[in-house]
Amino acid sequence: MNGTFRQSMNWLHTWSGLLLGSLLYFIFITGTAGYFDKEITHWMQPERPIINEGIDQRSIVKMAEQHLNITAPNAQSWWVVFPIARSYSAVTWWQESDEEGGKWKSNTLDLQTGTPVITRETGGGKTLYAMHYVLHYIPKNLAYWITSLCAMFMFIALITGVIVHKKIFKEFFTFRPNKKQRSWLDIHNVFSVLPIPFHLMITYSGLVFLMFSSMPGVIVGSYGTDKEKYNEFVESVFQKSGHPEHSHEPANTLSMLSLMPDIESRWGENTLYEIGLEGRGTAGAHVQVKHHEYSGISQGEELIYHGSTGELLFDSMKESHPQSASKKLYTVLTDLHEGNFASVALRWLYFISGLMGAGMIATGMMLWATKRREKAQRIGTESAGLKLVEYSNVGIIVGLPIAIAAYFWANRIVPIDIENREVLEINSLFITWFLMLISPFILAKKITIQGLWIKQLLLASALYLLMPILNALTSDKNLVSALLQGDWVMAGFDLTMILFGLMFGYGAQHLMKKWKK
Amino acid sequence: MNNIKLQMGLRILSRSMAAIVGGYVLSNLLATLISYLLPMPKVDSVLLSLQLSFLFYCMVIIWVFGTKTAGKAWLGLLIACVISSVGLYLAMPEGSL
Repeated sequence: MNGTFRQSMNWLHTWSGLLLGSLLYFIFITGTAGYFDKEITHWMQPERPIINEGIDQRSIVKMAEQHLNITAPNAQSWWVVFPIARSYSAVTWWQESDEEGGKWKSNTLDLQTGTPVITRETGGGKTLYAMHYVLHYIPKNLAYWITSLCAMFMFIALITGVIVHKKIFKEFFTFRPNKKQRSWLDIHNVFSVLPIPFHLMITYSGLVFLMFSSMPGVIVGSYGTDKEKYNEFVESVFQKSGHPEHSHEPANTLSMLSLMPDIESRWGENTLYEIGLEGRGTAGAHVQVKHHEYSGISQGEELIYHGSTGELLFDSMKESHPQSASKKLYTVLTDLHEGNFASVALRWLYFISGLMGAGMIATGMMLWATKRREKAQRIGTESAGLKLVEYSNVGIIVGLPIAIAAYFWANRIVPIDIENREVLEINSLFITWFLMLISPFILAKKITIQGLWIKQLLLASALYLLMPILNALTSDKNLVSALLQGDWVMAGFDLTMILFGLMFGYGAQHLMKKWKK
Repeated sequence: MNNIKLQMGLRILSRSMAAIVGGYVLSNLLATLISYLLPMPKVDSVLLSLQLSFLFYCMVIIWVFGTKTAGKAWLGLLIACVISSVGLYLAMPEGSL
C-alpha cells in the first residue's frame, strides 16, 4: 500500500477487524459461554435432583440398567454418565435401534428413587456454545466456512496488531483515562496484549478445528476427489484402537454391572466418568469405560471390554501406541481450544481470557468510531459509514449480552409442556438481538447516541440482576437454598449473573455522569 | 474527486481479492506441495500441512498488503502459484491422482 509497511499493516488491522467485528464478537461471547456449558445447562434444567454424593457408582449402574431395560429395551447403545467432575447429575443416554429411527435420547435419574426425573426440554449451554461455529439458521458447512473466514480475519488482525504496536509492552502499561480516543486505545491494548498467547492459541486452533472443511484442496491434492478416500483419511486421523468390528449378527450381551468389579479392581471405586454399551445384542458389542480425570490436557484413561465375553480388549494405561508428531500437534491444539481438562480455577481463567477477547474486539470497534468522530468534528462533516458503525456498535456490544439474557429468561418463561420449546428459547435470543440492533436506528431521531448506550446498558443490567429472582419465582431452586445445600453450580450461575448486572449498571451510571457534564 | 475515490476503491478491492482469493489458492497449493515433500506417512504429512496452511495464508495476505501496487501483488501471486504448481507436478508420483 502507499506509505510504509507499518502504515499498510495498520490499515489492514483496522479493516480486517471492523469488517467481521460483529461476527467475531458473537463467536467470542458464545464460545466463551461454552467453558461453562454444563453449568449453564444445570441452571436451565432446575428440575434436576440435588446431587447425592453418598451413592456409589455400582448402585447407580444397577439403577440405570433397570430403568433402561424398561425405557429403552431395543436401543442399540446404552450410556450412563455419573454425577462426578463437571457432570452434575446421573444421566442415562441411549440410541434407539435403526428401525426406531436411530435417535439419541436421555433421562436424568433421581438417585433416591431410581426413577427418571422429567426435565424441561432445553438447548442449554450446549446449543449456546455450538453457535460459535455452527452459527444458526444456516447449513452447517456454510457456517464452517463463515466462521473459518472470521477466524482467519482475526488471526490477521492479531498478527498485524502486533506489527503495528512496535512499543507493545510500553503501551501495555499506559492508561490515559477520560481522553476519549486515547483511552479506548489504551483499554484495547490491555485486552489484547496480556492475553495475546490465549488469543493466538484460540484463533489458530479454531482454524485447525475446521480445516477439514475449510482447506479441502490439501486433502484433494493427496487423496483425490473420491469421497471414500476422503473418509479413509479422516478415519485414519481419528482412528481408535480396541473397538471390535461392527456386526449385525445377534449375540447375548452382558450387563455393565457385571463388569464393575473388574473395573474397580483396576481404577478403584467411584472413579468413572461414564460407562457405555455399544452395539447391544450383536456380536460386535463392547463396553467402553472412561475415567473422570484427565491425563494432562488430554482425555483420561479408557477401558474397552468385549460385550459378550467380558474380555478386556483395550487398556489405555498399558497400550502406549506412540502418536505421530502431526497427530500430537493436532491433539494439543484442539485440546487446548476445548479446555475440557481445565479445573475450576483454570476454567475461570479461560472464561476471563475469552471475555477479554470479546472486549478486545468491542474496544477495537469503539476505537474505530471514536477516531473518525473526532476527525469528523474537526472538519465538520460526517460520513454515513461512521453513523452506521456508531449506531450498530450499541446493538452489537450491549445488544448481544441482552439477547443471551433473553435466552435464559425464555428458559423460565416459555411453558414447560409446549412442543419444540428449545426452538422458542433460541428464537428469543435472535429476535431480541435483532430488536437491539435495529432499535438504535429507529430511535435515532428521538434519542441521542449517548442515550441509546445508557438505555441498552440499563436494560442489560436489569435483565441480569433480576435473573436470580426469576429463578427463585419460576423454579423450586433459589440462590439462598442453593448456597445452603451446597449446590455451587446453581448458586455460581446466579452470582455470576448478579456480577454481570452490576457491571452493566456501573457502565450505565458511569456514562450518565460523564455525559451530564 | 469522485474519480480518484473510485480508483482508490477499485485498487483496494483488487488488492483484497488478491489477498483473500489468490492467497487461498496459493496457500492450498503450498500446503499440498509440502505434504508431498515431508518425509512421513501420507496421513501425517497431510494432517501437518493442513495445520500449517493457515500460517502460509496469513503470510501471503500480509505480503499482498505490503507490496507497492496491487498489480505487483497479482504478478507475485501468479509467479508463486506457477512455481508451486510445477513443484507439485514434479513431486507427485505418477498416476497418483
